[in-house]
Amino acid sequence: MDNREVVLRLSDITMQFGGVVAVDNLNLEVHKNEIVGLIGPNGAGKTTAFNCITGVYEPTNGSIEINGKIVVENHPQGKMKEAYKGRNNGKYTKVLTMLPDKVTKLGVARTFQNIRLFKGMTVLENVMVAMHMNQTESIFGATFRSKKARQEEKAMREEALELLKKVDLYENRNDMSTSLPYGKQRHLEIARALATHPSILLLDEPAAGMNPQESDDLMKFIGRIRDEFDLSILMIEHHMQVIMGICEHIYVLNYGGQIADGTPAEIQANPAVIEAYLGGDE
Amino acid sequence: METRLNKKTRAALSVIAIALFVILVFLGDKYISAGSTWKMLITVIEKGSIFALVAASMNLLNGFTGLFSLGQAGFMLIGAYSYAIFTIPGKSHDAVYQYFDGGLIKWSIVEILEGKMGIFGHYLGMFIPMLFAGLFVALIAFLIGIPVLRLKSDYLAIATLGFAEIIRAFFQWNTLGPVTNGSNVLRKYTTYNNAIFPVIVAGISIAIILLLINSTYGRAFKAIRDDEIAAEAMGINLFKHKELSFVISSFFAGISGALLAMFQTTINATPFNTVMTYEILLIVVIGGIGSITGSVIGAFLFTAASEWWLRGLDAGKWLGIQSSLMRPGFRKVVFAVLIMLIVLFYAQGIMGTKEFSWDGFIGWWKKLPAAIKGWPQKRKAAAAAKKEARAVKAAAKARAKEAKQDSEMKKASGAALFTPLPMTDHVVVFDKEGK
Repeated sequence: MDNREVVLRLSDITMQFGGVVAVDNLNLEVHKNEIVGLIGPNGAGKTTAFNCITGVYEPTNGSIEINGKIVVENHPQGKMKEAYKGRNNGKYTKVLTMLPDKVTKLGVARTFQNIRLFKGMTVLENVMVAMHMNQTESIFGATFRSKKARQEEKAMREEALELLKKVDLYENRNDMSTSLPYGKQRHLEIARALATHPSILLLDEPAAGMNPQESDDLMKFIGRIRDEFDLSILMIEHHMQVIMGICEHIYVLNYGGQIADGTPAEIQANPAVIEAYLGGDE
Repeated sequence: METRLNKKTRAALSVIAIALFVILVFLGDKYISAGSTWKMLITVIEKGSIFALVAASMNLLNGFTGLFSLGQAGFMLIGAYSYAIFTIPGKSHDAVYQYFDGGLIKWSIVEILEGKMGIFGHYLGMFIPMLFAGLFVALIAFLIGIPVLRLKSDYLAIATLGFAEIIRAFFQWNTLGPVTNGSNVLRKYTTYNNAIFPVIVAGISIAIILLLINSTYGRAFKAIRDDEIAAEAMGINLFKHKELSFVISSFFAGISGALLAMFQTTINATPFNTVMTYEILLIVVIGGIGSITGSVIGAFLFTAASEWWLRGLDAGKWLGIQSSLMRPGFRKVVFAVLIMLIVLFYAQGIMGTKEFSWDGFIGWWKKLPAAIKGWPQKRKAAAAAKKEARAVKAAAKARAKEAKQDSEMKKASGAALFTPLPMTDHVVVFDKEGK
C-alpha cells in the first residue's frame, strides 16, 4: 500500500452525454510525487476524465478531491435523473462546480492532446501568460506602469527566463511559439503549465507523434521535472514504452469503464487489459 | 546587423516627431485660409484622428482579444449624445429643444465652470462631459457585456450589432425628447476651436490603449484571442478579461463619439448605423487586425480617400477624367471595389500584426530606394519562385498519392500498420484519440 498522502482523488466520477456514458464510475488516486498513467483504447474516456478534473466538463455524478478538499461534486439533475445509467444514485448530494481557471489556481495544471500554444506570441510570452493569474496589480496600475506593476513584470520575466533555462528553451525565448520544432512545442506546453506553480500536473499524451528517441528523452524530462518542481503527475499516453517506463501506477479504461489498475507489471499480465486492446475470443 | 537605437534616442525621436506634428496641426488650422485645398488636410487630420481612436478601440476587441464585436457605432452614439447634452449653453436650449419646451436640462457644465474659473473652466467643462461620455458608455457596455460576452464569434457580432441598432432607435424615441431631442438634431453645444484638440485627445487615448496591450493584461487578452481553452487552463478568468476588454474598448469608443460630436457641430442618431460600424471595421482591416499602428494609418488613409482624394468621383470630375458615371454615390462603388481588392489580395492589411518602431522605420526608409529600383526584377524573381513552388507542390501531390496507394495496400494486407510493443507482445500502440 502506498501511504503517501493522496493529492488527487476521483470518486465514482461518471460523465454522461445524453445516453452515452463517456466515463463510468472512475475511481482514481494520485499520491504525492507519484506518476500515474491512464491508458485505454481510443474513445475510452481518458480525455473526458481529464476534462472533468480540470473543470471543462461538470461530471454527471461523483466527486473530485484536490489536496484533501472536495472541489467538485455532482449528482444527476433534471433530465439526467432518468437518463443516468450509473450505480451511485443518491450517494452524492451536493453540487459543487469549478471553472477551469479556478482549478488551475488550486494547483492543477494541464497540457493538451493537440498542442494548444498561443500562436501569436513568443516563447517567453507564452510562459509569462501563465503567470498572469498570480500577479496582483489592477488593470489601471498595470496600464500606467505603477511601481508595483513594474516590479511584478520584472519578477515575472525573470522567473519565466529561469523556467525556460530549466526546460532547455532559453535559446528559443524570442522565437514565435509556432516556429519551434514539434518536440520543443511539447516542452513549451509543459513549461507553460509549470509556470502556473502547480502541485499536480496532468499530461494529455505528451509523447504523441514522437519517435522512440524523443519519447525516451521525454520520459527523462518528466522524471526530472517531477523531482525538481515537487510534482504529482497524471498522464494519458499511448506509448506503452513511456507508460511502462515511468508510471508507478496505471489505470486502464475501456468504454468509459475502469477495467484494471495496478503496477505496470500487473497491468501487463492482466487478461482483461489484453482483451481490451486486442479483442477477446469470439 | 542593422543599427539599433538606444532607448533615449528612440524616446527623443518620438517626442520631437509628436511635438512637430502637433505644432504643425495647430499652426495649420490657425493660419490656412478656409478656401485653400490644404484646409482639407486639416479636416482629414481631425476626422482621421477621431476614427483612428475608434478603430484602435475596435482593434483592442477584435484584433487583441479575439472578440468579433460590431457595436462600436452604437457606443460612439451614446458618447456623442452624452457629451452634447451637457454642453449646450442654457440660452440655446429653447432653440435646440424647440419641440420639447427647451428640454429637461437647462444648464451646461461648460458655462458653470467657465463662470467660476474662466478659460481654464471652459476647457475643464469640455473635458468633464467627455470623460463622463466615456464612463457612461463603459457602464452601458458593462451591462450589455454580461449577457452578450457569453456568445462566441459570429453570434457575438450579431448580438452587438443588434444592440447598436437598438441604441440608435432608443435615442430617437420621442418620449426621451426632453433629453435627447428625439429624432431632431442636437446643436449649439460647445466644440473645440483648433484641430489639435481631437489630435491630442485621440493621441493620449491611443497611447493608453498601447500601454494596456503591452501590459500583463494585454498578454492575457492575446492569450484569449489565440486559444480560449488554453488561456482558461492557464488560470485566466475568461469572462472577467473579456468584460474588461469590452468595457475599455467601449470607453474609448465613447470618447471618440464625443470628439465626433465636436467635429460635426451637430449630431443626430441616424448616421450612427451599421454603415458606420462597417467603415470602422474596414479601417481596422485595411490597417491590419492586431496592429494599432495599422489602425491609425488605416484611419487617415480612409478619411483622406473618402473626404478628399475620391471626392471628385461624386462631383463628376476626377483626376481630369470626366464621365457621366461619376455622379453622387459613385465614390461608394469605387470604395466597395477597393475593399474587395484589399480583402482578396491584401488580407493581412498594411501592417499585419506589426507595430511601428523607429528601428523598423529607419530600416524601411533605407531599403525604400533599392526596393523601388529593384521592383521589376523582384517581380520577375517572384514569378519564377511561384512557378517553382507550383512544380514542388505538384511533385508532392504525386508523392502523396503514391503513399496513399501504398498505405491502402498495406491496410489490405492486414495488421502491418500496427507496431508491436517492446514490452509485451499483446498490446498494440494506438494512434491519437480520434477527437
